[in-house]
Amino acid sequence: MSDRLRGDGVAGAARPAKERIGKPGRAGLGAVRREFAPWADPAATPLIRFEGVCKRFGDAVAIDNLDLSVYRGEFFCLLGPSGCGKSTLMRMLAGFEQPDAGRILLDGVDQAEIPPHNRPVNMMFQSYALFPHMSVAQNIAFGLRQLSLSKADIQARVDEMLTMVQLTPLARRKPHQLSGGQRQRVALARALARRPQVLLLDEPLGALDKKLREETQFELMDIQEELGATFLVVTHDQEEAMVMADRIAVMNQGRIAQLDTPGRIYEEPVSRYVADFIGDVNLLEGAAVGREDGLWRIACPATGGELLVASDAVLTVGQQVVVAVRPEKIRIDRARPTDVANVIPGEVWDIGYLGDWTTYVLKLAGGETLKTSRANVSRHVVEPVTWEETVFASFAPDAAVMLTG
Amino acid sequence: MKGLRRAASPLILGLGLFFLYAPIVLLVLWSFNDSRLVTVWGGFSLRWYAALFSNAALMEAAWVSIRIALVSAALATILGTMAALTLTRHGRFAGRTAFTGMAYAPLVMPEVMIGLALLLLFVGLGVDRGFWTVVIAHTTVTMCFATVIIRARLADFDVSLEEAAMDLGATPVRAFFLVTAPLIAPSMAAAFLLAFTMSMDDLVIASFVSGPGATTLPMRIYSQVRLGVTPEINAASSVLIALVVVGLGCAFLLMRRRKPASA
Repeated sequence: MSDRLRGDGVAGAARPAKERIGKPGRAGLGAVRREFAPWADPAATPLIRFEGVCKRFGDAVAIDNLDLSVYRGEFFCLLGPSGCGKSTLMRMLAGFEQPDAGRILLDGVDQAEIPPHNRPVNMMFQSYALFPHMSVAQNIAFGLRQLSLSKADIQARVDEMLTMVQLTPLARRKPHQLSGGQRQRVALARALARRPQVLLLDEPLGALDKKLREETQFELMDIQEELGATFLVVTHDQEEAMVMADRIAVMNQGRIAQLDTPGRIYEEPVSRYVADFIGDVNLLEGAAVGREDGLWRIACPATGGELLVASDAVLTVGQQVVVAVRPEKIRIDRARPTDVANVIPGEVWDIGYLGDWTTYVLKLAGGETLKTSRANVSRHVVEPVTWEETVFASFAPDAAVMLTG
Repeated sequence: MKGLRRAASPLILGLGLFFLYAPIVLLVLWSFNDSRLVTVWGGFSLRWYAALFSNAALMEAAWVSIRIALVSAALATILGTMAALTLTRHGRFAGRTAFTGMAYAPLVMPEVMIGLALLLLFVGLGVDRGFWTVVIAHTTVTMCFATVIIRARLADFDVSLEEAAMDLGATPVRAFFLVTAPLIAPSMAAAFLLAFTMSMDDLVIASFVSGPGATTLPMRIYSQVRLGVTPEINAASSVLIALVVVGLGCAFLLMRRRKPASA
């Protein structure tokens, strides 16, 4: 487990230099969980390809001319709010929905004419869909029984699966005699028993409570790595996607808003929608004033001054932009700091104490609010920042992201 | 006022139940009457039951009824299941409203009309009336009840169970028999029992579409009553009532049985 959490920015290797402004060496965005990036290799052929896929339900467009490639062995997350089309995409891959236009290729084979029961994918349903009239072992054996396997082979595979999900003692139980977490594992074992090329997971952790969800995330990652299978996960929970995925496709209204590694999705969102959907963000509207030393000078009415933002964006002077800054990238001080380019005075309006973090909402001169947060690294704070105090929020030019979309 | 209402309501309930069930209770009581006269109590006896079971004509009619009921109930259950699946699983299709209407029409259509319509159909087609025409008629009527019962169960059936079965490699037909059918079996059994009892006690439709050699028990009883009520008929009716009560009771229990907690 610890191996996967370690990492020192290997993904940065394939990225152009522009993303490493003022930082020599191997700077990466976010934490990197493993060295695995077939998408960066032009010679790699994807396992799953969606080509110009469209799907309509009546007048509503569920999927809008979508292209997507997922590589063998990848842990891929489709992330988006409900109704963004992510489930439809997964159901089309499983064969429960047919695309209105476009092709879905799996290992180079067009899936259009292949019914669900003949596709080399298996799905773990959001409701788990365990067969209530069958025991745990029978549920796991169900998919194997549809193959021409001997009884002994089926039994061996069922035992193997039960061991993997640590449910051997409960093999004879019926689903209604299991806890939520146990059911989730039966569903996982049942879907993996046929050794699918692709495992589809529809909100796999949605029904679990927070503690169990965190544990299960790592379990899923371990199982995926152990089996070397390709996992395609649909989720609306960004934390889940960030922790587990090699790559995330953020979806919005049937389109992919951004497709990238978790680190880059978070640190380098390409649009206001993505910045806003993933994590907390302050969006400051402004207009380009001029360029100096690779930095854009942005006039920002909300802060009552100008901001310096590191960006390679090609802007015309006067162009409207949005400066996105994550709350944890903003420092607050009682005295005006002199070592940082962007300093914004504000009054403490709200304080949210979360234990590990404290969030401060500042009221700026123009009436807008600015959210900042800081890790509570020590238990005792002398003279903590308090309500209605005037403080100075500050952030470096490369802590902010310039958004034009 | 409130007190009066409180006192009156059990009375009203009692009167209602009395009107509904007193005749049936009386009929059952009289079937144990030792006297040959139907309205004079002559002591407890099972002699009319003995006479009933040695009455070849009645026994034959009972056997015909049971066979018709078994076959038509089986057909009604199969067709009802298919209709219910179509209505719950296939969303909108051309003619769906018409199909729903036709499947449910016998629920509200007067039996006399159904009987007459089917009679005209069979005559028009030149079909010899007998055992099978009654089976067809009873299937037509009871199928809609079967559809209603099974559809109610399918409506709260998690479709992803079927999808999971197919996802795991089962063809749609196998998915139905391995997953759907076992889970809706109680409602199918309830539908069967309801169809069976409805077929057993139908007089009107059977009298229209039956033919020589296919006289059902209710038809036989009715024709004997026209010659005068004998205690033997009371006994036959009591047996029929018992059968219907048991059948409906089982159907009720099966329908009420909570669906297995779905995972």
